[in-house]
Amino acid sequence: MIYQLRNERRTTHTLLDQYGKQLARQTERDRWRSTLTSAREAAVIAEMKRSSFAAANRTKSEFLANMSHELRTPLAAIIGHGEMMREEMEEEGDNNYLSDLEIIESSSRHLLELIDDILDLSKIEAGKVDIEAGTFALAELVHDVTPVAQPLMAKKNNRLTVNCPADAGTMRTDATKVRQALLNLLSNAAKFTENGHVELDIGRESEDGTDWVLFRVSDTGIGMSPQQMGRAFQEFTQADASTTRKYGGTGLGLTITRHLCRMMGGEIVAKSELGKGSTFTITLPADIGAVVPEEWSATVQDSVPV
Amino acid sequence: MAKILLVEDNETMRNMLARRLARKGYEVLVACDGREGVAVASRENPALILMDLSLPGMDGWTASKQIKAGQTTRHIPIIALTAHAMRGDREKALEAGCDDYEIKPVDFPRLLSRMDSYINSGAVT
Repeated sequence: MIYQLRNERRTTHTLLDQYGKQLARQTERDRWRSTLTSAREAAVIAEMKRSSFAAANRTKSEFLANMSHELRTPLAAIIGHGEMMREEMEEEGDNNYLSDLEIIESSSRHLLELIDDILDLSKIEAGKVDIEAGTFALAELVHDVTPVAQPLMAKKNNRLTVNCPADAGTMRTDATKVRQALLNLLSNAAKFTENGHVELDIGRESEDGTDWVLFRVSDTGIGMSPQQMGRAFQEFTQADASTTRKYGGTGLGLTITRHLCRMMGGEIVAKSELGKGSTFTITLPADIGAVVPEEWSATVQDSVPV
Repeated sequence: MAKILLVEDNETMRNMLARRLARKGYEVLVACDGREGVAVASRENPALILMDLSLPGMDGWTASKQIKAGQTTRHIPIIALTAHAMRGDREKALEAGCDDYEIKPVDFPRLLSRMDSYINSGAVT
């Protein structure tokens, strides 16, 4: 009997013990399960937030792109009619309102420039900019860019020198984007320099088995302080508030240029000293296929060689 | 003076450009969409065509292709008027057979000099 009781107690103990252990395991499992569940939930929530943020950003950019197009149409009418009135007044020798018409024209052109830059930036942010890689000679690129840059230089009596070595060779990347980046830099240099000198140098460099092409635009203009330089690539930031009034521009040019460079696997750096001019250097891989761009755009397509 | 055709659907822009071109001595014919543009081109044989691209009904690309495919109209130079906002407009314009393109709002003096060079080179050959 005693034996039996003892035995039963032992059994009960064993059972209790087992049950306790099982309970502990269960609790542990539950804890894990709930931790796992909350981690999973958190991941799902994070993913939802991320994708809805991306979607919202895309929507915003698409909205901007459409808006910009809608804004351009009436603006084109304002510009066209302003020009037409000026032409007709000039022909008729009526000079009374010429200076007023010039203000309408230059203000609407400035607004147009802003809309174009916002459009460019929104397309870049929406990932709607494709890279069209093609092989072209650097000499040819310079030949394209120089005549467009020349009239910008003349406005403030600046001299443009272009140094492209005879053996500069070719590169394989998006020629249109390189051209746009260079023209942005050259037009900036022309804007912030007066009776001075703007230089475009082209060179090549090899590093870790990768060939790089360097485009350096330097000017003898007003230059930037270290603080101004820190803000140079930020959207809508010019050296200070009076800059736009005095020199024009949108404050988006450098932001766009940096996006373009990074899309092509390259980078842009600035060097400047207040009152002594600025130098902007763009470094791009000679073959876009050799480097994975930091800022990957929609697609890279091979275009017909230029 | 040379007879030219302006294909543009926006009435304000069409009137404005037509008036400025007429003041420069051109005889300006107008069309409001691609179909009308093709018809006027083959009927009037203008010395040059200014073609807006986004048009209702038949768009400017299709119209340019048809004009460049037509026996009697293929010699007429076409300058496409493209909106900056539309991606790939220029490439598509050249593919459609346009000889050149100008971005809107047009740089009028430059447009005039382009037109002049096409019309005069056409006259020589």
